[in-house]
Amino acid sequence: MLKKKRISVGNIILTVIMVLWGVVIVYPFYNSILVSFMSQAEYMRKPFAFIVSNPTLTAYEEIFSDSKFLLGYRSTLLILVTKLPLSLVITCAMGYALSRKRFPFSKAINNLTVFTMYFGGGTIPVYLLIKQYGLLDSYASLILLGSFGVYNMILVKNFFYTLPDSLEESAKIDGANDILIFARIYIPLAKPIIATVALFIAVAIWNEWFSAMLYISDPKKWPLQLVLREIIGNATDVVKEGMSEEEMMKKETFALNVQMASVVVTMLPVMLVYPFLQKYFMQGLTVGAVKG
Amino acid sequence: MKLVAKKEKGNEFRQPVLSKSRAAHFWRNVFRNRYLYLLMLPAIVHLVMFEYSAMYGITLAFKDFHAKLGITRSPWIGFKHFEGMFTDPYFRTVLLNTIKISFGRILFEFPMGIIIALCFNEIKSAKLKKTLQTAYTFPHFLSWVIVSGVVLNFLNYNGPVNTIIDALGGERQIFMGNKKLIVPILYITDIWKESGWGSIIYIAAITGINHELYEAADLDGATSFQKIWHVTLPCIRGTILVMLTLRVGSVLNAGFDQIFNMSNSIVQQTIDILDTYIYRITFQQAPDFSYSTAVGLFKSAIGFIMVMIVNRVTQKLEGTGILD
Repeated sequence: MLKKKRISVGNIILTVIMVLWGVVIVYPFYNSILVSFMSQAEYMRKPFAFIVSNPTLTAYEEIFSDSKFLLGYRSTLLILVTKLPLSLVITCAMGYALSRKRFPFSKAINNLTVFTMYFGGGTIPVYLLIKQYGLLDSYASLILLGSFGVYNMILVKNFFYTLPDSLEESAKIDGANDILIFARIYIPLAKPIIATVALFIAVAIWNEWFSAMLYISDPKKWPLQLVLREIIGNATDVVKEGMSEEEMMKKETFALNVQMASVVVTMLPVMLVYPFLQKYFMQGLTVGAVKG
Repeated sequence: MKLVAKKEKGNEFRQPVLSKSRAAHFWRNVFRNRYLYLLMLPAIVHLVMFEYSAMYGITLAFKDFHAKLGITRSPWIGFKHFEGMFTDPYFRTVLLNTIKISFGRILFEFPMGIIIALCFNEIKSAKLKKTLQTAYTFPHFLSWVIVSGVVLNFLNYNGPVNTIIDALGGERQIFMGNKKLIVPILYITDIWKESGWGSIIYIAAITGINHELYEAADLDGATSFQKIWHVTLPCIRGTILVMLTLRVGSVLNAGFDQIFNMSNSIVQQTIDILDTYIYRITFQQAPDFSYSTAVGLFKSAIGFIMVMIVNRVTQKLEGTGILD
């Protein structure tokens, strides 16, 4: 084949650059994992390593010495198992209904839904609402708020558009109602897009910290990311004006292994799961352009 | 629903057989689709409870909020908060920072997704492609809380980057506490985290290009670079335009998550943006909910206007807007 000729020197160089870029992306994460197993002394000797010569678990012992992280895991998992199914049901049901042929108010409801993607009340009005509903400091605020996502709904809706109408029509002739048709016929056909949307929702729940920071003041109820943020955040803010360079340096490096152990504990589930489910994540972007 | 059914029957009774009134037809149609409305109900309840009710809260921007009186009974004060906003020099600093950082991102970060997609397309091995794509895209799925921790370790005074600088004879830097370096660090770390994921949409667009175009270019003896310039880029022009206009439309979003997690007291003023400012004046200093709401409203109003303009522009350029 002529193709062979195409693998030129330029192409090899490009491939090498692309592989290096991949290494540049992955290495910092790998380094964080290494640091989490390092002793303070080893870190000071050679932070830029590929293996740890004397791995220790002291950092992990320290972060699990109190229940902060376990409680964080508990909160996040609790929110995950309740919010994910709730969110899927709401999102898919809405996506299906709006994908059906024109019916009274469908256009108006669609527009009013998409409008919220581009305009919102903002942080304070939502905060006051949550307060007014009496949801402050309860998991319910995190579970209910954002349990319907317009972007995900549009993904689902676009998928349902691509299925033939004849499915619905023949079921209607057999006397099935819309809910039955949705649940028995369309849901099974929509498995790929539901998998994608479920993953998007799950990742969003796993990574959620901002709402929790606003609405949950009891540290015992903090989700994982907020627990981590407190540990990292204290570190980001250690450098202060007027400190001597040496002071800054010392403070910056202090307990880095504990911080990295916290990072590892928080990101590990995503890292382990991602390579296997990557396909489903990509589907979301390629299943169809996102349009209202 | 029962009410609707009754009304329909009533109408039928009054106007038998001949020309059913339009209203009756309409309500009959509503009734026929009752299960679809039921399917929409949870989402609608959510929208009313958390989106449209919050929009009512926007009135706060024109009121003097007293916690005891609540939103409804707090007195109106007109545009006083907006006047205060525009005469506050710090607000101007923050607005300027937001626009500067945002345009910097469009200039430096936006093209990276396209460049990666173009380079990616030149790689021949499918297996390598798949491995690389996993590496490129996974940081997108980690929060900025996690990633800022990783960055903190990597750019630490004793960390890997400084070790390399030291070995090359340079001077170690305190990266996170350097007013000059922090903005480039924001750009680079965001490229590092997001550009792989950003490239996917272009890779998908490139996959959709007709192969005959490349074969024709081969026959004409085109080099790889010429093929990119004359075939690939013109073919994905539409995708690039839509992505660019979307990005420009959200120019007042300068990256809250990243900046909030990577900021500290030294660099705070340099990278303080509207969103971090709103958060701070609401939840950290002596809170003034009405003023914060006014700043928030300013931001979402400009954002909304930008989206509308952008939609018009894409309609003109591509024949179809992003919102239709």
